[in-house]
Amino acid sequence: MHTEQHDTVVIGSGFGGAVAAARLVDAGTPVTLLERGPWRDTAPLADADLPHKAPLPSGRHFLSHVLRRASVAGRSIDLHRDGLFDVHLQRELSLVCSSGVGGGSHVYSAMNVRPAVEAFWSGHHDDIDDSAMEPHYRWILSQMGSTRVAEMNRSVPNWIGSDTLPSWMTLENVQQPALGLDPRRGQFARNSFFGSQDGNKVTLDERLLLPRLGKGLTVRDRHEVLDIARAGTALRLTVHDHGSNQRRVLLAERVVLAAGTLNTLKLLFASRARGSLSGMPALGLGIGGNGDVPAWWACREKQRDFRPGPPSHGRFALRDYSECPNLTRYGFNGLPEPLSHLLRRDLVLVGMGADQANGLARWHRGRLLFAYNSAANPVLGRIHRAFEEISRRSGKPVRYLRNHPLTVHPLGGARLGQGPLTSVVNGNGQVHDIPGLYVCDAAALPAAPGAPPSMTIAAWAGHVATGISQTRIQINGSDAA
Amino acid sequence: MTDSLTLTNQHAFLAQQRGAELGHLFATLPAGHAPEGALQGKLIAVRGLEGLPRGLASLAYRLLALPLNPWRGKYFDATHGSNLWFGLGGLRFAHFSIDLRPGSDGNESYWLDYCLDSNPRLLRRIRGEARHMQAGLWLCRMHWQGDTGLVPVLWFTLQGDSDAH
Repeated sequence: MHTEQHDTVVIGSGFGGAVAAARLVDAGTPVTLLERGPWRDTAPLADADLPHKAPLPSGRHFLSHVLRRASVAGRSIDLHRDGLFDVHLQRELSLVCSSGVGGGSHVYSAMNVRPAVEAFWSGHHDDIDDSAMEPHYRWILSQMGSTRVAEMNRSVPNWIGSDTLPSWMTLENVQQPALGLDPRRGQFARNSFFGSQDGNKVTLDERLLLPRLGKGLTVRDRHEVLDIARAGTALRLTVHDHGSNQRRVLLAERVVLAAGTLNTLKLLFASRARGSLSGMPALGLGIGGNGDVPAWWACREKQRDFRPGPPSHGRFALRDYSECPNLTRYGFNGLPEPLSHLLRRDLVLVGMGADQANGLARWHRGRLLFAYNSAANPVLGRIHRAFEEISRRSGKPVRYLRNHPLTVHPLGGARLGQGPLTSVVNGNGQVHDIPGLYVCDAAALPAAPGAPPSMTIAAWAGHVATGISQTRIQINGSDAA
Repeated sequence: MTDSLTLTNQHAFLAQQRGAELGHLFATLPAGHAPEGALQGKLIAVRGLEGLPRGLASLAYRLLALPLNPWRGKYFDATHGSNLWFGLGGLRFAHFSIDLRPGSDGNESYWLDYCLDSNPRLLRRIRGEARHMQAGLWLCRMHWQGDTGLVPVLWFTLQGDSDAH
């Protein structure tokens, strides 16, 4: 019977997987990328010869394609194999993540920034510091665009920098993020957390993956990895092909795991629970939510429609407020009518800051459960107080979940570190004591960046991919000799 | 070390797979450690139930694992073995010889041949193969020796003392 043998398999196509795949292919490594979700039907992919493209949740496809999987207290139900989001509700930490080729780039706020925490990479591993990671930040910024709205040659609706703000709000000393936008495309509509159909938001599928198809990169969409096992010197993957509803077995010399924090942890925990993998005593340590606190500001601004615009309207601060956290403004963009119309004059606020990444993930009877203590993460209280202040100053309610942390940026659990008792991966991103298995998504982050983490994940993936390429060259060189 | 919960989890995972899918997995396994002693057997796929939805098939295999099914596993020594009925220390019936040789997919397997004089004539057409999957666990495929060749009939796992390996 034929068994598929691969050089390098990358699992996931978000900021970890797509970047790792692109960097490996550029260095001459053949890569098979497995992504559980579909290619998305967006304008930049309109001419691409792909056998299946699924719509983003919009219009008549909204309800059917908005959710892929929902879970409460670790018990999950699959809703639609081409759905965009997984929603995992738990008492101490709830998570939202996405699926589809391009991963989180479809749903992110396009803010391409470095960590807000100074010397973020220092102190976690002897071989890693900020200067070592800087080339990888520069690479991903050059690929995804680092446009500042002020540099665009046309006005952008609802950009906070050109907006008339209330006197209690300020942009002084607030650095606006670079945005992954292509202003030549689209009308800044449908440019939201639910994806960007007109391609106004730059995504990983069009920038990094599509150009490399057939040039060393093979992408298998709708392929979900269920198990990773050691098989001699190789790794064996059991994969469910959602397109044909069949399971396949692949052997790979090396596997780069970048399924997103939640799914990466699920895969590692489940594989270990079956005995397919062993070790990893620190698996689950260091869970964080990057201090995310989303809120609905029912400001009901007269004569305004906040929906069109960049995915993020930009950052702001509160005037004469000493401990203001990182605050960003968004419109209710992408929701279906009539909800969208109803909320057109309201705003979404997101407060963000570095939490302590001191939570814990554990595996219990086939369920991934999180322990996360809000009180042990003071940044959340600081953001709550800022929201209360906005409500007080504006006289309009700011609604948020005070006692139920919700994040779209889960991180940690398979973190980088010096040894196996306190960390899961080493300075090369390889799982301690499991040769050939690497983690290059946010699960490997050793701390919270305190800012949108996409560029930081991408930088880590670039670092891991570079190390793999160098090792391959050394091995091939010694083989040749 | 692999505990019984680990083996139970692995068995449950395998039981969600169809025969052809298990064949792909089987093809990646080495013959590995030889099975020895009394090993607990659990059915995971039966020809004819392939068309059932995965959840329903999994339910059927769980029913087949109830005490209503008297088959409990197999006993192995170096060259011969027997099926165990009503308990791991119970009745031994349906014997086989054991040989390390290329299996039906060409890769090396522990080959179980029921063509022995001590077996009823009907059983002599049964052939089996086992490969070591992980500590304490073997994946096995049984065939019917037809006139035109081997026909895969069912899949099962054998579980034993994991610390031994």
